[in-house]
Amino acid sequence: MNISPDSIVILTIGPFTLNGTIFFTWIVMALITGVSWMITRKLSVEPDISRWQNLLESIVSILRNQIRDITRQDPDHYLEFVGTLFLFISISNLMAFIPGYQPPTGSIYTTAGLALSVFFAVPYFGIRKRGLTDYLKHYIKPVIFMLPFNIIGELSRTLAMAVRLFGNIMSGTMIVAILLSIAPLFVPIVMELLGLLIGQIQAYIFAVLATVYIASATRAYQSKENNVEEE
Amino acid sequence: MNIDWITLAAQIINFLILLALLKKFLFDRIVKVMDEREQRIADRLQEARSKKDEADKELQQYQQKNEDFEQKRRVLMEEAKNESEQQKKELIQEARNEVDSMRSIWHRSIENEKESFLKDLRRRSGEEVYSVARRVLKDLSDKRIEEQIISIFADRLKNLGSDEKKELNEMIQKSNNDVGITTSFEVNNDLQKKIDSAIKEHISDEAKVEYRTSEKLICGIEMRVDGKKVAWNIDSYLDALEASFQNLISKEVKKTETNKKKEKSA
Repeated sequence: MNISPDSIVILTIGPFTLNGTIFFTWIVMALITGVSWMITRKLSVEPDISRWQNLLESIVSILRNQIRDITRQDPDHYLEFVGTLFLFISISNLMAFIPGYQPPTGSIYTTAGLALSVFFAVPYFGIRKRGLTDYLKHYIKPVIFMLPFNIIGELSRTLAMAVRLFGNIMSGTMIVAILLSIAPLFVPIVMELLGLLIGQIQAYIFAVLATVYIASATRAYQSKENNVEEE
Repeated sequence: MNIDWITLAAQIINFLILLALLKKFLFDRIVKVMDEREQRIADRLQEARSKKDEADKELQQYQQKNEDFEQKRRVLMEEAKNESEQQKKELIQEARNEVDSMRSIWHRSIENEKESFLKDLRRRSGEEVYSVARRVLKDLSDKRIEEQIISIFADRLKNLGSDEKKELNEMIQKSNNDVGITTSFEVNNDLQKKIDSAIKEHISDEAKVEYRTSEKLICGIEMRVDGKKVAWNIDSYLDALEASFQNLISKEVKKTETNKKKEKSA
């Protein structure tokens, strides 16, 4: 039993090895994109919509509302980024009940990749919204003495994001693996259910944290509440 | 620990690809549709609101119109009432006037009747008296009556006051001594002489007398000098008779009128 999908080798072409992480990521990507494409092929503006369209609209409107609540800005600027993060992590974790499937979020490379994406997305959105100098100024606030700590904070929260998601999902897989050897009947299924729940919670946490970081970067320091939100 | 940079990079790239794919196939489309629907609903609400406003406005207009109509109706009713009142008064007044005019017409017709009756009476009585007188005069041998008339005439000339005589004299002189005698009968020469002598004796010596006969006089004689006349005839008696008749008749008419008025008021 592999704890991480990294160690699963699907295909080897020359020096390149297609491991399970990338393979399952592709599967998830193909699934999400394919379903989205299928549904959004024929959308209806009229109130009598298909139930699939209704599902997607519900998801999108929930995402928008969440983003609006956190950022107190127009959610459509961040919808794609945050929405993609959430959907990818959520679907990856949700498919964990399929035998033979290993969630790609259980790989440190996937979570690190996502965390790095957030790490770069924060200044991207911040500079786009506030301009370069204005954005950079927030590193020396409230005093210039805080500059190194701000930078450390930025880096450490990215690391924390990556490790949090990785640890939770990997531990879920690992617990199931351990329990299988101790009590192979029924108990792993309960833990699997718990793992699904944790997977959804982690998807939510990851997306919300990304939103909060982006919000704090894009919002001027209007109140102390914003600083508190920044962990 | 050996870091698999390729997997890390691949995962970042995978994420970016997924981001682009979902943006294209999911978020853009869904957001667009949702926004469109929202816009449509907002439009419809706006439309409904404007329609409602319109309807409200129309309702208000209709209410206003109704009120105006009611007001107009009331005014018209009032006018019609007044008009009918006025018309009633006018009609009553007209009826009264008509009654009055009818009464006056009736009065006039009574008056006319009275007059015509009197005329008739006068004519008849004149005729009667004339015919009676004629017959009487005829029966009482002509000559003597005529003589009598002429002698009465002569007496009258004789009995005229001196002032009158003088006046007559002057008038005769003014009119070239022409004196006209009109009689209802033919005057023979003896009687002419008698008249001539009476005139010459009492009024003027130089008078030239001309004789004429006229049926109008009925029975009598008349002397005319330049508008002044001295006469004796039955006509004058008849005039007196007519006057007394008229008096009598008018009294009768008044009596009947007062009787009628009394009947009316009763």
